[in-house]
Amino acid sequence: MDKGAAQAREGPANSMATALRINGLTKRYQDFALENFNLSLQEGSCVGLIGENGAGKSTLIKSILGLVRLDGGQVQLFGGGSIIEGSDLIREHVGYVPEDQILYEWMTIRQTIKFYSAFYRSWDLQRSTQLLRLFHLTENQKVAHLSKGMKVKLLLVLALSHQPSVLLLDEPTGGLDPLAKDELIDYLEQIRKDQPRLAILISSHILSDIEVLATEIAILREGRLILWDQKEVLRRSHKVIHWHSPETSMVGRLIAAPFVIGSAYENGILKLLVSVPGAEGQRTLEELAGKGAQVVDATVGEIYLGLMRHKIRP
Amino acid sequence: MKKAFRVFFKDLQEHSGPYGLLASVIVGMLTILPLYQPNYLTARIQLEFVFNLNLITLMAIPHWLLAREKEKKTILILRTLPISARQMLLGKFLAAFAMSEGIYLASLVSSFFMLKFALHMEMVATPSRVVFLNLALLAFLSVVLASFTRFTPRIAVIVPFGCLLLLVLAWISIKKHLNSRGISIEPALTSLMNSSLFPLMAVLCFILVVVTAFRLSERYIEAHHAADLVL
Repeated sequence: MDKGAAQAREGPANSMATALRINGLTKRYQDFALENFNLSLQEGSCVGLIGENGAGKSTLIKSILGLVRLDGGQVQLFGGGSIIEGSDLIREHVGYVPEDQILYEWMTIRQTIKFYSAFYRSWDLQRSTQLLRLFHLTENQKVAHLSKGMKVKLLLVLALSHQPSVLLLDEPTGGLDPLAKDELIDYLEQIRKDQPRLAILISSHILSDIEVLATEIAILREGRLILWDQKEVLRRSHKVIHWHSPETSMVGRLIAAPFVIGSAYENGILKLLVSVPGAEGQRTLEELAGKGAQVVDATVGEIYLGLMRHKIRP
Repeated sequence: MKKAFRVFFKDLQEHSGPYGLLASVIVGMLTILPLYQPNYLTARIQLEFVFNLNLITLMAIPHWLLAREKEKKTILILRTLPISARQMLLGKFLAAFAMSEGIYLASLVSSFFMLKFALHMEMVATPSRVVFLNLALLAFLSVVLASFTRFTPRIAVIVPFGCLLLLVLAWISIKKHLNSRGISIEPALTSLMNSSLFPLMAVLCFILVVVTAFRLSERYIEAHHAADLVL
């Protein structure tokens, strides 16, 4: 069995309490299925969900929010020592930032907050005021006049003011200019510091965002979780080798090696992505290092692209 | 219930501006115009029109409440808040009813204004007619709402009015068929309508329509993918 697949089933080792557990989740459509999907979010963790379009990221988020009727499995939220099930109750404890910055454009920020607060029992007005101040938003501003970045900030205020235990971010930086994107990432990092027990699930195509924010990486392909582990563990267990003017006799052997999950040869440089080298792999790495090849920890983007391009069977 | 009312107030707040303006302009114009009609029949027709103005609004109100919400994707806001499909529908239904009633009451004002100032004008708004029209309005609105839940806006507008038309056509053809065979159902109908059980039966029928339409919408929303929802 592929080690990544086994790791995907078990998930990363974590000593924190579970905030959300997805157990055997199954949702079938005519041309797509999320089959027997398992994932759990620990308190204080930030899981970066990566996958191609149609891999099942949005279906997963909608399943957590109870927007789709499941064909099997369950979503459980753990709050205050009890298990919370049922879409209405789960939504009460989950903060959600949608991809399209959907808000009532005719409302002002004050009206929006007033509207949202009526639906949550645990709405903290002080928290929303504090967040508005942090994001430099004023209550009298009309939603229609806000920029995309400001709308995401407002959505974050709305998602965090009812003190959720889980925050779901669906492509939060999509469509933002680089400055707004960087600013938002800084804010998200600050929120993580302010609320250390908050579990975050962030779905994004922008791998650099995941690289910065996520503590765990979950890679989805065709409705299946093919890899799920702590970011640092993944990065340490995946290496990128840059070898200038490689020995031709070794290239074929290296590319065919079982621990090599991605390879490219451009402008005289052999680039290899290797996964969890065992004793044999370790020897090869040392040999390559001895021959002048550069061995560095892989980035999340490199691991993802390596896995996707080679379509490793889970 | 509090959550349903929040949706109700939001809808009123969102749509009362243009609707209030439209209602006051129409009612204002129609209230004054019949006074200049020397002919009793013309004034009577205008009065009837004002009184039945809500029928025109029936088509527009659910469109504003549901189709626009779907068009702007804001329906996703409601679906991701901790509110059940039932609460959401109840809020929408109450808002649609309140808006129709707003126009309806405005037309009543016009009616009473006419009765006060126009000569030889008979009472159009009899209490039984007001109750009956309100019940019919509730039932029809619930059918329109159910229709907007399931279909695209254009089809949603056609479906309830199409059903109503089919019902009327079926009724006319049955009546014609029975008449051609020498059977008259008028006496039976008259006795039924004069029966003391008739109001109760009518109320039960309307409640049945409202509840059925409501349950259909609710089940549809719960069973379908939020993004695929026509609503």
